[in-house]
Amino acid sequence: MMFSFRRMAAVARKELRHILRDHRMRPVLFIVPVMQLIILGYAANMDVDHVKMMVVDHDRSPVSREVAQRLDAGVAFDVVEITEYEADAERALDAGDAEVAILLPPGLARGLARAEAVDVPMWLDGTDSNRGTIAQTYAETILAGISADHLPARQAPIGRADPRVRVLYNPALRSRWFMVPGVVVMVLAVVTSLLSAMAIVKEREKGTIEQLVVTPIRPAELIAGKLLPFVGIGLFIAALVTVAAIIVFGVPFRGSFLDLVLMCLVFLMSTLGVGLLGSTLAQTQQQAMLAVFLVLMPSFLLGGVFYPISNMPGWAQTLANLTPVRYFIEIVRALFLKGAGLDVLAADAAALAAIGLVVLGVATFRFRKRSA
Amino acid sequence: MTAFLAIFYKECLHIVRDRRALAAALLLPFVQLMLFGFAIQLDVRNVELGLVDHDRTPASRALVEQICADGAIRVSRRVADEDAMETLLDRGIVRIGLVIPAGFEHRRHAGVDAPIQLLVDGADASFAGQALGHVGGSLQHGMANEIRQTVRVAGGPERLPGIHLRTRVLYNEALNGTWFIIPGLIAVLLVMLAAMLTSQCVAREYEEDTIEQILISPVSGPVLMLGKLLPYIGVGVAQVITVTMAAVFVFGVPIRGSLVLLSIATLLYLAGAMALGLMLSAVLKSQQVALQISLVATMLPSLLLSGFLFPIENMHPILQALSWLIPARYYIAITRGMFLKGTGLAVLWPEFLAMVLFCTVMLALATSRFRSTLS
Amino acid sequence: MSGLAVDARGLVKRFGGFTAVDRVDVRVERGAIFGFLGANGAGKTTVIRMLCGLLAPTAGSALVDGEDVLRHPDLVKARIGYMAQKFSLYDDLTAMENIQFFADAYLVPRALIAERTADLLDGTGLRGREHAFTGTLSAGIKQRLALACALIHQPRILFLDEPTAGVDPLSRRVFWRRIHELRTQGTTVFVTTHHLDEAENCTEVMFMQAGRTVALGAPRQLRQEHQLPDGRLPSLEEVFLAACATGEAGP
Repeated sequence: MMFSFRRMAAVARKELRHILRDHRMRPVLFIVPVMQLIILGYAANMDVDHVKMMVVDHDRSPVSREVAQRLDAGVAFDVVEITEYEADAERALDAGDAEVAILLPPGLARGLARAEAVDVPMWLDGTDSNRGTIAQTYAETILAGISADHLPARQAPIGRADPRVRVLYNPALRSRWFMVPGVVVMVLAVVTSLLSAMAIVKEREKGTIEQLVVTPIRPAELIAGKLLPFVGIGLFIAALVTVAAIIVFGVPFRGSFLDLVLMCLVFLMSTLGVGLLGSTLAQTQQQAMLAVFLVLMPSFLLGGVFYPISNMPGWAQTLANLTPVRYFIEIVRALFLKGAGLDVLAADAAALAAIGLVVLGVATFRFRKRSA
Repeated sequence: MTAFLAIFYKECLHIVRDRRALAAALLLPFVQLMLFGFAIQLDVRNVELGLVDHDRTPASRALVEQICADGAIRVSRRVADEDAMETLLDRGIVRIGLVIPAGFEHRRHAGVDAPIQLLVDGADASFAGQALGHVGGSLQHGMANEIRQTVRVAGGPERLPGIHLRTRVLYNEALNGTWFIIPGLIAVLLVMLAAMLTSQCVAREYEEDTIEQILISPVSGPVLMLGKLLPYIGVGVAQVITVTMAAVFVFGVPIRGSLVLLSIATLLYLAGAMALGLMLSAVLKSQQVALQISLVATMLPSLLLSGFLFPIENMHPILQALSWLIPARYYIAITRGMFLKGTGLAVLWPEFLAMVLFCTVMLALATSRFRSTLS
Repeated sequence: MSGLAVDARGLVKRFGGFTAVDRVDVRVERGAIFGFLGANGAGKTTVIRMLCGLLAPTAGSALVDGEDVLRHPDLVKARIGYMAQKFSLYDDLTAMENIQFFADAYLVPRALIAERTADLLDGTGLRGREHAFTGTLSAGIKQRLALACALIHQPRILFLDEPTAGVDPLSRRVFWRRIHELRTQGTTVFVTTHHLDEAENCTEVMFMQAGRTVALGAPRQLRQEHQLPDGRLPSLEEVFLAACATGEAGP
């Protein structure tokens, strides 16, 4: 018997009605994207700035006051308090009111005037190691500048290498431009995987699957028909998020929309495959949900949505390379910020397609075995 | 009392019989902790650098060595000019590039600043920021050493004049990224699973129509709720113990604060999260939707607004205010404080208060929901 | 049309160590109403699922409407009608949408759909309510709708698995009237039930117990075979109990 589009369309139409009529699914379909968009757009900021600093001034000289001022001046540090007592600094660090304390020793001004080496202790809250490391660099730079200004002028024995930085694609290094494309990826993955898994299991739970299996509808038509509405829904939501990203958050979109649609379709192979696979592993809807969720959460964290993959140890990178998210987030970011064309995206797209085919293949195989 | 025990026992049976869910609940947090604890690294490494060296002198080679000294960065491609470099960046073959202009060594030896150009892929902003910081740091240290060498050779003083920053790192002495992530990870994992577990339990009764029988029986709201809640708290405690042990023994995260206080905070957190799940479960009479909503209600905010991934101070003021509503925020502050800093109630009392408040409010809400359905 | 509607021999189904169906033969004449009776768990549903191509037998053969179920289950599925135990229609679809779905599933020629749908709606008394959600209809009406959907492609053989479960006696009577109607139109009906009073409606019945056939024949014939010593004819229920007690029986 041939594959019948009419039968597949009948299944797809039925599924779409189920989804749209489940009035409890609707808010979730919309709340998830909007929430993620808002939070990732407005909350996600990994820049290290406005580090809270306590200055313990034992010198109490014009120089020490100047140091405090210059530390406060830029965006790097916010001096929350200038005190004479170390205990204050200790307390502030313990309580989290300050992240850094700098102790200006007595004799700071004198030492500089005499062109001597002056030790300035700094206490650093290492809890957030990333922030701490960068704060340290900031402090060193600022203090080096102060030193240079206060030391009697002398010929430097050797010139410094002076790095001029040019940041491509996102010159202001806006976290938002980095995060918001991630929302497209996450929303698409969550909605399509989760809902498709649940929709299939729901049918099995309710027992209506038997009525389907006894008809001439072939497994391939059934699967395609069940998954097709989610392709439409997925694309619709992806479009919404993209428009919001551009208009509300001002993230530039430099690539081609058509390419984005195409890439979304390729990605959907994987997400729907995961949904289908999840439905074969679960007997109840919440099991299906848990199963899918278990696959998605790690793939977001490991896939480079929040943390650079290059930081990860080798085995984690290998794992990351197996997740479709990893490739899709690259593609989406490239489309938004780099204006990349299909020629550049080809490698990632091919990987994405390969994974999608494998996942869908395995899922379809398992599904047919179960229904046979 | 007997009613309570009956409900408690029945709920325990439910839990034990759903083997898959139980196994998942116990293993999952542990597995995820292991996975993310090892995989997520905040420190920069494996950075591939593209290089254009127009100078090709010992000084320019030394510069490259300085940057690559600590092993985090290595030169993976050498190209002839800036255009080729931009192509590399466009294609994502490298994410950071260094261009050393001709005359670099000459200028340096003349005692003049010698500019070099760093090109970085800003699309991955988090990577870019880190990489730039790292390069900057390496350059600074490298140059400081150089200058010290040159001065010493020329017979100058052992220590250069000027300010020397002596940093003492507190709480996380090795600046170990994992120590920062783990307490936050624990909070996130726990709250999600807690809410998910409990969100099913009442909705399940609704879906299986056994709710009628329960509503007819003369059991009061609080008793019913407590009976249903306690078994899940038991599971939650088991989760916490496995996860904390993993954190301490596998990752070496220290617990410097009071274990008692930590346990209390954890119980409050669990109870609150589970009460939230119960409430959702009662409100939404379908397991599927209850699960979804509890996921959305707990996972996203816990992950994003609680200070786990992004510092709260950096957020938009409205979202900072919103974060006060998220219990994970308090729990993360408490865990980080108690694991790494060894702080106690004196400092953390506002967070503890907030936890108690959250727990009480959630339990009250869940109970009132039950009562309203009973009447 | 000649040949048996259903010709199954030596059907066996084992699930792991458990034998659900143990060497059962099923032969149904065309135009018959074949009743399949037995307690829950006797194996009735398993047999019907094997005959419909839903389950592959561990051993044995089955020809349904002349087609080999094992080799061409798809062909069989296209020619039979099936009404599942819980007459699963989609509650969140309207009656019309349910009908349309099954019409498409069976590839009913589009030109004929309107006419058949109209007949269907009139026959089930749903005219005027075709856009109501199926979930809002009463059990009796849902049953009629489910039957109608199973017949939309005018199959020659109809398999009904406990079609009157949970339905009031009046609706049950109406249902069986319909079945007789179908029979006069030439449709063969194969029905499982555990209501022994319904068995009277069948032209031939087969009792199953623990996976085996314990009695087989026309209702009247069976009652005469088990005639009581005092000359009374037993009820079918008594026949069934006696047959179960003696174990395996039948041709």
